[in-house]
Amino acid sequence: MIVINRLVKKAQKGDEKAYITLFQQYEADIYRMAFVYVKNQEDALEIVQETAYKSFREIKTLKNPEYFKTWLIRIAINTALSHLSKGKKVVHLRPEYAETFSTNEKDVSLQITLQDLIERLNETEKSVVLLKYYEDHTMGEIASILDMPLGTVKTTLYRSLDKLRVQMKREDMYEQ
Amino acid sequence: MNNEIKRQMEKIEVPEDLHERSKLGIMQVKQARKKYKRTSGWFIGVAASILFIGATFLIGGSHLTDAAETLLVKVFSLEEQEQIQEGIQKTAPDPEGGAVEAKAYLQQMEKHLQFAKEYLSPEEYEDYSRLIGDMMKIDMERIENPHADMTKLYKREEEILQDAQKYTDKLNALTNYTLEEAQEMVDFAINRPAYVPTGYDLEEEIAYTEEANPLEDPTITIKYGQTDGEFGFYLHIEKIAQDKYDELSTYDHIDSYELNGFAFQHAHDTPNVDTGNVQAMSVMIPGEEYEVIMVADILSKEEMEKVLLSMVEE
Repeated sequence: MIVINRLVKKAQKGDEKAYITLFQQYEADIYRMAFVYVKNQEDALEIVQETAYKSFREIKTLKNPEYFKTWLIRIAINTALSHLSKGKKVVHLRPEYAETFSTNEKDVSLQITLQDLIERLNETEKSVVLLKYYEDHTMGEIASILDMPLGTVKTTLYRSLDKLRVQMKREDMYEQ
Repeated sequence: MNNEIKRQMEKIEVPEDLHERSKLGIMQVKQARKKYKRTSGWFIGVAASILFIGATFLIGGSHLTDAAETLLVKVFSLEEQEQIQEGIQKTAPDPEGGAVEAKAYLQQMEKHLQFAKEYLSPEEYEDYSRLIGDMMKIDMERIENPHADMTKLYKREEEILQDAQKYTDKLNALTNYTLEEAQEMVDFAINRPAYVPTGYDLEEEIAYTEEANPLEDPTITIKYGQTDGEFGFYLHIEKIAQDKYDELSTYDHIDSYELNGFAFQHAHDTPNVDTGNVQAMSVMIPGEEYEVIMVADILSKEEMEKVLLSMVEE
């Protein structure tokens, strides 16, 4: 955390090399999340690039460096959603990707494929699921990041998991 | 559940050029800032410039009719030119577009060398053109080896920039002007803002023209910073052109509206409670092909409108 704070401070003074080092720690996560939204490599790369651009442009005004990752993920999600709304095209996951993502899990309660995640969920549902299970945020944090009431986050999560045909663990159902 | 989704997500392969694209996005901010600073020289890395301020390099449909006779070939061989074009094409999001921009980049380099040859002494030009060639070789290395140790490349780049400083200063002086000198090139009044938000001081003002037209169509930059703080805003007065870098298009949202009879555009990102609100705004100067563009770290929309109106209202 101390290293991140130091890099953020340097980046806030315009040190692009510090920001490249900092951003590098999150670029793979951002790419994978972007891919879930746009379903193809080139658009996902464009979103990563735009996220890097926007976040470095705005880093000077980040009030709390300890929230850097949350702030960055929020920019990435907004960039992906903005990209989708500008493009207004429907892209289906290419068959070769679908084969890569299929699983042979025998455990029914955990039978989820990435294809399901990408194809069955809408953008809001993707955001909630990714923030909860890929980025390990609490429901409250997700509500803040997406600027959404807590109740809506919960409802969205339950609906998403239902679509993914997954049985939740008890703690997932009652967690705040 | 947690582990299963993470496991599935990890199946998404990360492309080889991911890191390069991240860096390009970050360097794009730096280059955009440099575009309006114009004090550290003309050099801009291919990877950062051509793909993302690419419009700057789109020069009509002209092309180098006889590459062997150019000034460029004396510092960057035909083989190297082909190599860099291929590299740019490979890394560009759109290979066809990348090919066009790579050619335009070489044309721009050639035009810059012609400009330099006209205004530098023969000895100065020989040294300067060699430095340009060295810089282009670094760009080529960066494109071909995106995973190379960039520390050494940055160091070499800094050294070249330092050596070239005296020449770029001399050349920039031919295209850099005061606001008063720029005023003589245009038919409308170039106004500094009559309204400046409390707590901000003037830091810099500069006008410059392009090498292709050293005495025409100036761009004026006026920069303000907080008296006690790190934030600020800047203003550009520039000619509206199709192929110019469009600051406003890089934001999530653009709203167009009329205010006090003037055509405004307001650009902003989706709100983020953890940051201030970096915003951009533009207003057209009536009857002219010029506009004023403002970018502010933390000013409100209303404050920005007041600043811009104070520049265009009588």
